[in-house]
Amino acid sequence: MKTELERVLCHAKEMPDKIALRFKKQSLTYGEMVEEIKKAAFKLEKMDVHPGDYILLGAPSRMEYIVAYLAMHYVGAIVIPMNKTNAMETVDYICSLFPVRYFFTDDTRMKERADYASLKELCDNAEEAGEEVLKGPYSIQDENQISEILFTTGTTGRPKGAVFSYKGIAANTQNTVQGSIMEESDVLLLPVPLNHSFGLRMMRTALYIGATIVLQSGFMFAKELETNINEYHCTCLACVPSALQIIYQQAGERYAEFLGKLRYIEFSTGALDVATRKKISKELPDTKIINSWGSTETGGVLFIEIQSEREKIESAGRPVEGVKIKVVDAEGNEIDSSRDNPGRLAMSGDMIMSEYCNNSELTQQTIRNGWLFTNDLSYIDSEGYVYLLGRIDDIINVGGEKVAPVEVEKYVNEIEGILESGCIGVEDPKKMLGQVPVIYIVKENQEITEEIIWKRLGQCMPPYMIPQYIRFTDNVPKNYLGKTDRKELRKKWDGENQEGAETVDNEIIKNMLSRRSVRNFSDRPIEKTYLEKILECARFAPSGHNMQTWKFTVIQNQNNISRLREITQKVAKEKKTSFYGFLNPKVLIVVSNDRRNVCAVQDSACAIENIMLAANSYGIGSCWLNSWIEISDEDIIRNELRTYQIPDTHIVYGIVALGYPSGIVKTPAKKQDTIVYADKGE
Amino acid sequence: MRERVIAVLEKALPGVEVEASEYLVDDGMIDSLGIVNIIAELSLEFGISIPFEELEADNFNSVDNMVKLVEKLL
Repeated sequence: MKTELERVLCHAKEMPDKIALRFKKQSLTYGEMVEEIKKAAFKLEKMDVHPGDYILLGAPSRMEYIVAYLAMHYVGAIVIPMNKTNAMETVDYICSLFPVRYFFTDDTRMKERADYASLKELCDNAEEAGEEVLKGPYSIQDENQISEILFTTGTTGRPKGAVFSYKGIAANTQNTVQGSIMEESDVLLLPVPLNHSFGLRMMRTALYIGATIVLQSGFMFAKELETNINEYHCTCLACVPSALQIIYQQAGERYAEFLGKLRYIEFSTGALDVATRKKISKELPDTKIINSWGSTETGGVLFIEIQSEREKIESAGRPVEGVKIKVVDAEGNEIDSSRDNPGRLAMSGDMIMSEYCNNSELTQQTIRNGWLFTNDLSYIDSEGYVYLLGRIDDIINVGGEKVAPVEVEKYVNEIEGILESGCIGVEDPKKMLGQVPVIYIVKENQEITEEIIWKRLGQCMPPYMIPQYIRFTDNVPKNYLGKTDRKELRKKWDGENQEGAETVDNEIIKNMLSRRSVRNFSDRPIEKTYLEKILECARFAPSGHNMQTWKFTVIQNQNNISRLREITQKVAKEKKTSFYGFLNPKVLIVVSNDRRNVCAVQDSACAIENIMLAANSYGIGSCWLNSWIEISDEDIIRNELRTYQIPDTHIVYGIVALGYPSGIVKTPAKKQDTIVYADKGE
Repeated sequence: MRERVIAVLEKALPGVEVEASEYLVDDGMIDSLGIVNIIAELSLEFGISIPFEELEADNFNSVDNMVKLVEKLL
């Protein structure tokens, strides 16, 4: 079995002019890349790096990283890929496990470290290396020698290091070569982190095959995906499921235009949920969707092509040749698994890691007799397709019935108007069932209510699986790979349900705590009865000395609303005051008050708060625009006010924009230190 | 304007020397959560809406580029 480095050296001879790497406007052909690798390897030798030395390598999504990675293998060093930015504590911990020779990175915060070395300089200023002085390429003495160590940013405690031999890494690459459908002619867009197992195996596979890699730093910008796909004629993409949401959010329907140009997309790190699988295979009819499943300890092992294996759409896929799998019970004995009798997934093959770094106890628990025991609850169907039900620790035991959070989420996410959800098991507050499922939901459509959700779930789920509690939230916490962070969710639940919390939260309090400023509104009109009630609440606000000198002017005509927006923008710009934009409100309520009333500001503010809370109780969004206080007496504004019969003695203390929210409503963090209990010693 | 952009960034990226960096995004100083925050805060601070066309790493790589972006959208 050849390593990807050996293959790269062959490609450089056989097709030196083929583009190997691209990053923005830069590119390297296979021929040039090998020259760069040799220069960097020569520099490493001059820095006294020897075969078997441990080297940490920060992984920015740039060509230098791949050159440095291959150069380190060229000299026979053990490569430990790291995040592009790291906490000092993590680096210190990793350095305590084995003697680290250098830490090559571009993160200047690491400059003070004794082992710091600049990644840029390694590749920039490398001196010309003559073949005669360069010792490499390193020839592998024993395929069981350590080649790489991959650290998982463990959700619990310290990172775990999965140690791989040369044989392990080669098998790892082979599995992806087999399971993926990549060809030499492909141009792979690779925005996933390159220190992570998925990014690394896609990178190695492309280099092995002799394809072209286009690098991109993450999925933050959908526009960047579009540009790269168009400009460099990318044919495939390595993607994580959570990135899809960013892409939808930024590009909207347009996403299909550019992703649809790809020959295939491979998803990994967390399975695509079934609803998304259906959606994208419909919206991207010419693009093959591959879901691969693996772990840091094994690399990609299960693969499925969603369109051609449609009847297995809920499965994680089948193992590639050379990978053996089985499902075992709590004692580790193989079982005949099924949906009703799932067990722990175990696998064997050359691709599994050799051990966990400096942790023989965990290694013994995980690898026995050549089998690696995962923490995933699963079953295998008669055709060998594997179904994953979630992490064993996450499984919810509802009165003896086993409920997998991912299954609950699958049903919930299929309900229209729900953006995403996260399910956890919590102790049954009624102490009857042991545990019960709780679901946190992010709404896409604000009209969705608990009742609607329960009704839908009742139609499609067995009763024990239905979440006992539904909580609406602004986001589902994710780890850095975009997987649902159930530990965080559990913390959230515990925080919300500390003793006594249940008794102090009533509907009014919940309404107050759930109000957010909404600036984007949907086209849905506001019901007349709701609007009247909201205005009644405004009239019932407290007023100093019960003067009630206020006036609430309601504007619903869209032309009038647009004109108000325009003149406000114009005057605010002239006066250099700030003006916060609002999009498409259905109703504006202009709250004005007599300037001679000393309580005019306070009264108006109370009325505005009543309006916003009343609106929120109906699911109507609101936003307080207060720039008119300063500009009410500007001619253009005053004339406008006169057309609405607002007296010249009045100042507009605020305008409330109302409408049903469109898109996601952001929750800015509330400051923590604004409440002070000032009494001392009590 | 520049000060206001810096204020937004300093709040969103505690501990990062925002003015000194030219590759905030490419070097990983701004991650995906960070960018969502920064886009929201810039939109609020300046009353702008950043269109899809402008959502590119280069527009957010440095203070200068962000100032240019905001000026363009005002």
